[in-house]
Amino acid sequence: MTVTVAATPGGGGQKVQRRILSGLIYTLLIISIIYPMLMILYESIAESSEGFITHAHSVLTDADVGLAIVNTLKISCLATAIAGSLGVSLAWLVARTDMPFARIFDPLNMLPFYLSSVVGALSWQVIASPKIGLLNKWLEPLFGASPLVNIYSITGIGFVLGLFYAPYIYLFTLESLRSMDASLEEAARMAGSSILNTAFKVTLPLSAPAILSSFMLVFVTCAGIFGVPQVLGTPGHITTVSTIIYRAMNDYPTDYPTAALLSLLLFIFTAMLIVLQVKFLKNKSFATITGKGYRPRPLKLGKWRWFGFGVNLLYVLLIGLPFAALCAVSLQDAWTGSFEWGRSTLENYRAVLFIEDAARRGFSNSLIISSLGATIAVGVCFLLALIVQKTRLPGRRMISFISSLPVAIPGIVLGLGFLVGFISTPLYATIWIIMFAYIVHYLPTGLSNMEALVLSVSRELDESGRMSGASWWQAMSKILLPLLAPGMISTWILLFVTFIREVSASVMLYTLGTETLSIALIRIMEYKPYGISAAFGVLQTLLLMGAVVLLRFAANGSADRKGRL
Amino acid sequence: MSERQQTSANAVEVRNLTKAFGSVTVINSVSFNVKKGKTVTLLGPSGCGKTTTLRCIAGLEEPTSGVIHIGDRLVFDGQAQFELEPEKRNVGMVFQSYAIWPHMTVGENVRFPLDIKKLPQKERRDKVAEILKSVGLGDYVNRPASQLSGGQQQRVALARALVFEPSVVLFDEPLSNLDANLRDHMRHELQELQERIGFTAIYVTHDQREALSLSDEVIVMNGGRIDQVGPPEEIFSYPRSVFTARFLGCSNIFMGTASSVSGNGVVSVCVAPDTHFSGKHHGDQPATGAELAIAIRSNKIRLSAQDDFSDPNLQRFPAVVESRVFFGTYIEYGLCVGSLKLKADCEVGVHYDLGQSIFAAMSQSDCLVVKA
Ligand SMILES: Nc1ncnc2c1ncn2[C@@H]1O[C@H](COP(=O)(O)OP(=O)(O)OP(=O)(O)O)[C@@H](O)[C@H]1O
Ligand SMILES: [Mg+2]
Repeated sequence: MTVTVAATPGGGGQKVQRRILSGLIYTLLIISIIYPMLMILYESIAESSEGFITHAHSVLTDADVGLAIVNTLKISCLATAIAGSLGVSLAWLVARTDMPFARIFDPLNMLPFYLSSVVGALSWQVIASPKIGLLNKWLEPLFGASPLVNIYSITGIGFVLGLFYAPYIYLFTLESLRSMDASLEEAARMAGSSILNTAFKVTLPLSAPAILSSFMLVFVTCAGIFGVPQVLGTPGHITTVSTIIYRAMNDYPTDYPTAALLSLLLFIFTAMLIVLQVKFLKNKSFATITGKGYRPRPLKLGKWRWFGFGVNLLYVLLIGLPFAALCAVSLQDAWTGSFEWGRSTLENYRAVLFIEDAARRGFSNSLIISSLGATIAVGVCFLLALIVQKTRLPGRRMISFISSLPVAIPGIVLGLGFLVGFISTPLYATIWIIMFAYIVHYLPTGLSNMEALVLSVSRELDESGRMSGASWWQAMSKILLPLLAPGMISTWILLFVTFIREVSASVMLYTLGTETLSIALIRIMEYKPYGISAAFGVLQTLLLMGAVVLLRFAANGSADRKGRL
Repeated sequence: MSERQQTSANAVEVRNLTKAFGSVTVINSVSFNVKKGKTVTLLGPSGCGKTTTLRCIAGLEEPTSGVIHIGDRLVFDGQAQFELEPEKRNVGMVFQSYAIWPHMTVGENVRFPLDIKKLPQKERRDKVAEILKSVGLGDYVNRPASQLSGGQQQRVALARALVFEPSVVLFDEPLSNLDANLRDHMRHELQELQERIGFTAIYVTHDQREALSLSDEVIVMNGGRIDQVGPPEEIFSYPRSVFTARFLGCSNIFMGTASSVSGNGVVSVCVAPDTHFSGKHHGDQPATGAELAIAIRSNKIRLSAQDDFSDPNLQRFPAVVESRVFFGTYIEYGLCVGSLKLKADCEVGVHYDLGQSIFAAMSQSDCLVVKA
């Protein structure tokens, strides 16, 4: 174990080994993060035939590109607004009020976090597509206008993204509200402020830094997302920056320089916002948020509590009902706009599981990539977190910084970087390059989770191991590892689920035979009857839910065995 | 190295230990020795660097410079860039939070150091049973460690630190998380255990009672430096500085200048234009005109309504009663002596009214002359 040596500084030999170790880590980080990004820069500058300036000018003044940029901004704003208003109000209702059934709503509100937004887009087609959408079918006779709602629009894309990214903001807000000292609110009430006034004047401003930074994260994610805009934008010819990058790569002949240039733009935009967010958070003091353990008494909403209930129920239904409709569609041999028992069939499922090669490959590829990838990612992040937090390795802060960079790289950009960076290596056209890209893309998520976990355990616990004669590695593996196991399982689930539904990076890296689940779904939606896509979407969702439920049990079980921490 | 040879009876030797976090120096050239089998206490206010000193000895913190020996072994030398890993120093440590591993039983916690050493199974079992018995947890071997009370956790931590017979045991405020009664109880147990097993200990605390009752030697620390070193009685009776005097409970401290110095250690200190205290000094003889301070414990001041003290050698001052606070076993009077404020403890039953003019008196030997 080279790591053992890294633990404690000592004589000359150890110094050399520590240098070797940090050199090794830097090399790996540079190859997997810096190099692909530099390759994009290289492609966009050096590879265009007419020279960089001319090419950049022609791309940037292209009307299609301009439209795509505007569309991207519109979609991101709308999605952030919807996700923000839903996330914040639901979190406030659950954490701070006496809304009925808040305990049941809490996990339900997090549900979309574990589902694929592509499946969400698929199921919203059943409800709101212009021709076959149920809403249009039912409401057109009443209103006469046609079509009444159209999911194949900027509004439709923003709406679906908003629904599926609301849990991110919900989670941030909920944590911030729960860690806030309730007496601050109670003081406002004592001063004569009403419930809503207190919420807007005290509660929300105090948790504003956390909430705003989650807004920023959702905005940035939606600006770079590929799956939903591709699925819902194609029928209505709505393009975003990510979909035109994809098109530049898939049209014949492949236009690398344009794709690279647009990727660079997207990356710079995202990175700027992330830098802004970090700056913004740094200047905010969280002094009001104390770690007091007592649960504040919920605010009494009075007659409004059923209104709150209605709002939360509406959110759950907006997620659940389209999915129910999708299930119904998947069980019919042809969809006529209503469920008919006579048309019931499992044929669609049979087709997905036994006939469609792409679908079957998608399942097996994704299962391998996601389970192996999550395992490797958890292991790598654990080691990196230990090196950053538990050693005095020179340059360990820099390791942490470089590892956090991929947060600012949209998936499709990272995918392109990996493609141009590794196209001439044996990695290309294998599932391993996809797995590699996933691990790199979610390194920041995994590492920040792991660092938080490591920091949550008092350092005296492993130091007392050292004092008992254990070496650094023994203290880490015999004391820290068992203590962190439940948290590591949670991180594993999070990464597994994220990998299963990943679209943006995969779409750049898949080839015939290495399709992932989500890629196979998008491909099948393009050329197969809707029933088959529906069945496929249902199966993917069941897989995700099954994984989450199973592993939650595993994590709970091991946490119980280990005793209270 | 030559100065070390005659001191091989030392279990720990710290020379010019300095530790800086970034640009902040939190320990500044600290040196001390701990003799084998003795208990030395680092006493000082919060933030003075006690824990950091202890962690440097343990090897959990890398000192900026200095030399540390444990027994005959060099464990740290700043100049030679030598540092021995903590696990190789054969030092036991009881942490302030006890650091009991919640995922193991009591027995597994205590056995851990022996598991690491890979002792024969039977020896491990016997040693664990023996040490648990001596800390009074004989029946707790199979208890999950997460279900222990504070006092029990403290005992487990102690057992774990002692079970592998380290050459030194380090204690970082081990009693500070316990309630007052349990603290007294555990202090006694600790004392007994040390008498029985005879380990060398370095003990960190900010509680003077603990320091005085537990140790053979007390090191008073202030702002990363050693202020005074000595046996408990000496530290308590003859503080040398204002800091140590105040930290060890002298509530009346007056700055002044030496107006006369006599050969027998008596110094007269002028603390206000017309107020002089004469007191005893210990240590180097001060020069006339030197900046000094007078420290007087509040329970050494005698009060009387008339100037009728039996001892003619007392220094006496007219005083006016300003405040009166009841503390159960005594009453604390706040007095005005000229422009000075004085605190005096008085037995319950003697009563003076606020505003009453009385007399305060104290003997020469109770006025301690300390460095300003
Ligand atoms: N890891 C660290 N980084 C920066 N400063 C530190 C670190 N650890 C300790 N310090 C600083 O060093 C000083 C001494 O700390 P130390 O913990 O040794 O004090 P202490 O005497 O044990 O105090 P207490 O009685 O409160 O435990 C403090 O001012 C503290 O802020
Ligand atoms: Mg301390």
